[in-house]
Amino acid sequence: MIAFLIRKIFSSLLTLFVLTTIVFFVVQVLMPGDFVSQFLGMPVQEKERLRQELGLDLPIWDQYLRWMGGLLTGQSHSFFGTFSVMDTVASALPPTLLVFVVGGGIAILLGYWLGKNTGWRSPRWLSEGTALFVIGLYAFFPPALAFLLQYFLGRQLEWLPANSEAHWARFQRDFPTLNQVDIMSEMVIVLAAVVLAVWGLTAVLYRWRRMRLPASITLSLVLISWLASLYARGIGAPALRVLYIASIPILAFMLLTVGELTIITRTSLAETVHEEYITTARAKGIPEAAVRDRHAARNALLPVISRAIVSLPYLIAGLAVVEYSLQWRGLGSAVFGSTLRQDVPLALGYLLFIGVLAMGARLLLEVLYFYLDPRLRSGQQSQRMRL
Amino acid sequence: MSAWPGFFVIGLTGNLAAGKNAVRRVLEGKGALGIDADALYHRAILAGAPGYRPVLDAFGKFILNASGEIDRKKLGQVVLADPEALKRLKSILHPLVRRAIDRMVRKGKRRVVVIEAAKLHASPLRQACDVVWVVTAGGAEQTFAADTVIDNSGSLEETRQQVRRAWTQLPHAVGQPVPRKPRVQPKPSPAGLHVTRGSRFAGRAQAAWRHWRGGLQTFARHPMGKLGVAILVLFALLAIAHPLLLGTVWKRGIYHPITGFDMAVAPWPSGPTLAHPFGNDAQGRDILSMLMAAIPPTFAVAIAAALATLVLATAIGALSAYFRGPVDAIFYNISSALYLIPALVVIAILASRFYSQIGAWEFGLIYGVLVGGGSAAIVMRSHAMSLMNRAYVDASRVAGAGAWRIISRHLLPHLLPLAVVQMMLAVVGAVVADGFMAFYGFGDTRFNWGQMVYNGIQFLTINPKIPWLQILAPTAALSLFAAAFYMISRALQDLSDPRLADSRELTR
Repeated sequence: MIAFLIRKIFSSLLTLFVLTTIVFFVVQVLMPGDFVSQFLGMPVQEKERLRQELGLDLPIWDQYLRWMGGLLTGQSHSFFGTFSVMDTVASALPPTLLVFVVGGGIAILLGYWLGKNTGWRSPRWLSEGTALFVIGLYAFFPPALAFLLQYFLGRQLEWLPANSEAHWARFQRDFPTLNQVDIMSEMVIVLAAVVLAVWGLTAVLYRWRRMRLPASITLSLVLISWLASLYARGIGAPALRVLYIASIPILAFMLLTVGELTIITRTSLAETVHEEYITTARAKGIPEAAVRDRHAARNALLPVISRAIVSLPYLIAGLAVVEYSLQWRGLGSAVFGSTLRQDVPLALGYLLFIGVLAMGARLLLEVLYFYLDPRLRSGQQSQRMRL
Repeated sequence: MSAWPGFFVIGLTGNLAAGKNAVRRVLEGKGALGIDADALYHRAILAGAPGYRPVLDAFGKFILNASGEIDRKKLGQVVLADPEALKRLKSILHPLVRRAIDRMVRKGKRRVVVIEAAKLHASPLRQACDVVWVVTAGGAEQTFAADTVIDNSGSLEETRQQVRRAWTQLPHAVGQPVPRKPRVQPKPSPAGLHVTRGSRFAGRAQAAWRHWRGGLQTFARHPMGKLGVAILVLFALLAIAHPLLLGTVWKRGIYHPITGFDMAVAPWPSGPTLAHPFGNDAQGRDILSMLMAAIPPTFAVAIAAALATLVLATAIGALSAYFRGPVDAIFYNISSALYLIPALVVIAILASRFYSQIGAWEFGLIYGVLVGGGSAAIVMRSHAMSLMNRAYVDASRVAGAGAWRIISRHLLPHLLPLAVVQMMLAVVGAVVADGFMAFYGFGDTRFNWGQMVYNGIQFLTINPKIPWLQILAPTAALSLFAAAFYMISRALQDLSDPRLADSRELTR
């Protein structure tokens, strides 16, 4: 497991390096003109001066090295103003992470549940109907989905906040000492810690008491301890407010993602129906629900994860689109915003962070896959024994 | 006239132990090609042979013996008890044996072919023979339809004499050389696939067609795939109808997707009327006409993205799996890097410099390259790696096949189904991304559903009345179009997964 992790992290770093290089050269080499050439009215001398100031007159290799150096030391600068790319990007990451983790988490659970229940010997109309419905969600034009949610849930019914900017202003008024970005990053970190702790607890329970907690209890345990720890850290009320303000982006991302996950679960579950171990389990007299949950769904989990890895870029692009459409101040709207202003260093910085986000998610899924696949695990063990 | 022009085919039959084998030996000694059809039937159902699985699927696993081979005795009991079962077995095995004989006749290059079969008269093989010889051990069995009867009731030498005499009476001169490339007329295939470039190609095309026809039939049974195809056909028809309608029925001034407006309808935006079934947008343009005008560019995006993904992903997958080592390392790292960055964002950055120069084809191409070199290539690579471990690749290597032959004959055909699935998924992404780019403000002058949605939402910011049709109609069109590709990919995925196909066969 450790060797696997080290190998994966190493190859991820290599990939990240390739990614930065590709991104830099594609943008710099393929593009006619540069940042300065867009100011049409500017005199030539002024343009030259600006180019020198920004380092645009240097050879491309030099620019590349400077850019990489800037990235590594965290001192790359935007063309506009003197603020550092790193600081700007770092402040856009938590909002994206929050939507990604919470929305993605709900989508995984809901998709898994939906796929499990409709894919397993349910009436044909229910199974096909759900499939069509979730495909519709998957292919739904994201900006329109965002708009419809905002319009109906926000403006008409006034259940959820339609305009996040106005609510952020009110948030600042109510909690003047707090920074919303810090709260969001804290929420994500605490959630990760809680999930790890609960997972550890279930593992311990199973190991020593042979006890399995029902999924509903595990989930409510995660939820309750998440909120309890937030309150314990003294940010309970603002955290709930942040969740409330983030509800529409989370909902939109969840709806876009749940379709794909439902379909994958449904298909891979259908593949296990004819396996012999299912027949055996039934023959032993195990109740049908237990056959589905213990024998079929567990085996169906692996293809779900591997397919989720493949469709990750699509999901992250969907997240960026949702953010931009809802003007949620995350990486997605930032990358499109900086692109509109032609601020290439900033856009690349954001793009790179999206890449890091995707890489982190992929790494997580791969580790999960490794952990769940006994073949991979035992392969590793037999290797160790041979050594 | 035999089924194989240029060859003279003797059908050899007779009861059990009548001496067919001895007669065939004599003929083989004379230079004929002997084929034991009965043995071919037996061999077709050995484990791993092409008839093994279909027979198991038809009759069930109880006909297996302990070592996993089909027990011919048990199979015989089943088919003898039930004429339907016998018919089914025959329908499975006949085509296989026939194909094997075809191949042996063509590869054997002997002018005279002897096919030995105990039940020749009851078999369709009878029609493939020029003459039928019946061997009897005294009785008058089966001699009714014989061209030549060989009486094996005497000594072996007498039998041989009869065979030699019959041989000299064959209509074809025996010493004549065999044509090097026998001309085989390809049967016109159902799809109108007329192939004229030599018989080998024709044979291969026919085999490919047979293979694909089975796939198509399964695909046609898949409800989701059918629905997806139906939606695409509907869109294609609408796209064709638009210029026709605009030229004849619709007045340009009213229905032109960009400049048209209807003075008779006011105020804009307006709801559906008979003249404008989807209503008019905020500028008075007919929404249906705009929807239809946006179809061809979207198809262009889809096709360009599809082809780029298909070619790139398959090529990268096949090359890295075949060559491994540094080639694989380079491709894999590039793919992983491309996988991490959403293609949509890269295109947005490109578009910020190129403004409206990115047309539909370019957009699809860029998207296809980013996805085909990224996530699709990763999937194809791992599939190709597993294919390279198959025994037939090793066999091909041992037989001296080069890189190109292994890649083109063994990798590509098996990679194709999965590549098509990936291609369809890329199209879904490309269509949605194209809509978003137009929504986002980088659309060029061409029409796009995303732009229509954007215009509708923008109208809301200055006006309390929402142009619902202007927002919902293009949204529905875009989502349906993308969903159609997703449904087709789903159906193809089910098809290309042999495990699933297998289980479906078993449950039917």
